[in-house]
This record gives sequence, structure tokens and C-alpha cells, in this order.
Amino acid sequence: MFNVQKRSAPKELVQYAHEQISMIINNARGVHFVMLCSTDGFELTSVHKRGQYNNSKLAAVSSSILAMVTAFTKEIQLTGCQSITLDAENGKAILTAVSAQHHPMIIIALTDKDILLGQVLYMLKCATNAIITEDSAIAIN
Amino acid sequence: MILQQYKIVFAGSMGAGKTEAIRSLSDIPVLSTEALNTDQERHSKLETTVGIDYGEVTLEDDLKIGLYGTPGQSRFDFIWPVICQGAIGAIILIDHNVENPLTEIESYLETFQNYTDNIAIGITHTDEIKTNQDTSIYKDWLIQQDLYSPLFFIDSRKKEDVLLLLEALITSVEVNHNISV
Repeated sequence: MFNVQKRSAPKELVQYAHEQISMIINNARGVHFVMLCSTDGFELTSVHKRGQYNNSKLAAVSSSILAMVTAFTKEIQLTGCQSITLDAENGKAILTAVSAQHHPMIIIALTDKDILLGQVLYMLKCATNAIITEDSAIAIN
Repeated sequence: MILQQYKIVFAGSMGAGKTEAIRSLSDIPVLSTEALNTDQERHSKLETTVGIDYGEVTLEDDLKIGLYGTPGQSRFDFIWPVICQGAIGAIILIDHNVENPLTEIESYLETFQNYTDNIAIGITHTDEIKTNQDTSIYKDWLIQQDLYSPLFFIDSRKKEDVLLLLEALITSVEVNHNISV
């Protein structure tokens, strides 16, 4: 039959994800902006310490980049690529796929140049796993 | 014989059938960048292109055409000029059932004319009766606008339909530039 289920992430999942990305910005040094968006490029929620960005544009560009990189890695038979780190002269951007079964999303983290990259990646991984688990739990309920 | 490769871009409204047209036409498995479509108010389809679709078709005389698909939504307009670089032409596909298809055509034409002189238009989904608009509006509009762009009613799922549009575009490139592609 037709899939009439609402595909955008429910409020409770977005609220839960907001708490997760807040933990990253509060606990990882040098992270100044974290945004959660849908894989088709809509902002869902964001937290920031500083920096003014066009969030809508950022969400759209991020979804494009992640989709393109996924297509590229698939083409060269690389599997399990869930994260992209862009390393610039004045900071880093980390795009992380949240492969939730019902509501796939993307986390975008913008950081200073000098950060503990391993720490930020670990925290992103923890947040991602937590959101995926919550997505499944909400779907069951 | 030297194999020549050219680039043609598929643009147009969300859900018009750009990815499907490339799939129908391509000789190779299409590289697609689709994501779950959460904008169900705009269109009910399950997935939507968010990056670049890519396929290839080889026509007569070893003429190889790279088929590049764009996302239709204007929030992805940053990628349109990037994809159009080096393209010999663009095919604009418009869903006949959108609220105002002529406004959509005008909008995409205005944008993509900045990137290429050679544009062909395909009107899709004319087999679905969701609108009262007659298909004659397009002919009247072309005359009003004094436009000579090829315009066809196509089914993106049918290779022969998409091929017809592609060949019309290539012919218009040859005519416009007085060259043989």
C-alpha cells in the first residue's frame, strides 16, 4: 500500500537530538556550531556558541556533499563511510551521517582549527548512536 | 574514430522525472544521490535528488553524452552553475500537474539561460489527470514568448521519449551554432 507515514522527524526525536548535540558543544573544546538536518537538506535543530550562518543553505549544501561523497565511496567500493572532515586554514567542518532507519539525518559540526579531533569524532559517534537508538525506540512506541 | 564526449544537464521542477529520464536513457548504471524526501507537502515521492545524478548514453557516430541531473528545489541552486559548467545544453523537465507550470518553465529558463544558450523543454506527467490545464497552453506560451526551444510531452520512463528530446536539443545546438556535434 501507499506509504502515508509522515517522513519528517517527530518533535520528540528532534528534541532528543537537540540534547545530544548540546552535549557536544558544551563538552568538546573548540566546537562552536552544531546543526542537525534531514538528509534532504532541511534544518531540524541547531546549537551555537558563535558564528552567524545561513542555516538553510548550510543544511542544503551539507546534504549534497554527504550524498555526493556517499556516491563516490560506493563507486570505489568503500563501505561504512559515515563521516567527512573538512580541514581548512581557519577551522574544521565535520559532517556525520546519522543512519537512523526511520529518519536518517546529518550532523554538521563547525569547529576551531586546533581541536582534539578524536574527542569530537568520538562525541559525534556517541550522539549518532544515541539518536539512532531513540529513532528505533520512538518507531516501536 | 575519436570518441567525443559532451555534457547535457537535466533541470526542472521537483518530481518532474529528471532522475528517471537519466535512468531510462543511460547505457551505464546511473550514479544517483537521492535522499529520503521529507517535504511531503511539496511532493509525495519517497526520494529526492540532493546532489548530482550521472549517466551516459552513446549515440550514433560514437557521440558520447554525459547526462547530469540536478536537484529541482531552489535550496540546491548553489549546485546548478557548478553542474552546468561545460555543458552544451540543458533539458528542462516540468511536471504538467504543478500549480502553475508556465511560471515554473519561465523560472527555470531564466536561471538556466545564464548557463547555456541551448535548452529543450520536456513536459511530463501529462497522462495523470490532476489538473484542468490543457496541454495547449505550452504552444500558446511559446508563440507569445517568441521562443524556438524544442518542447515535447514526454514520459520520463520511456527511453524513446527522452531520446527524442535529447536529439532535438543536439539538433538545436547544431543549428544555433552552425556546427556538427
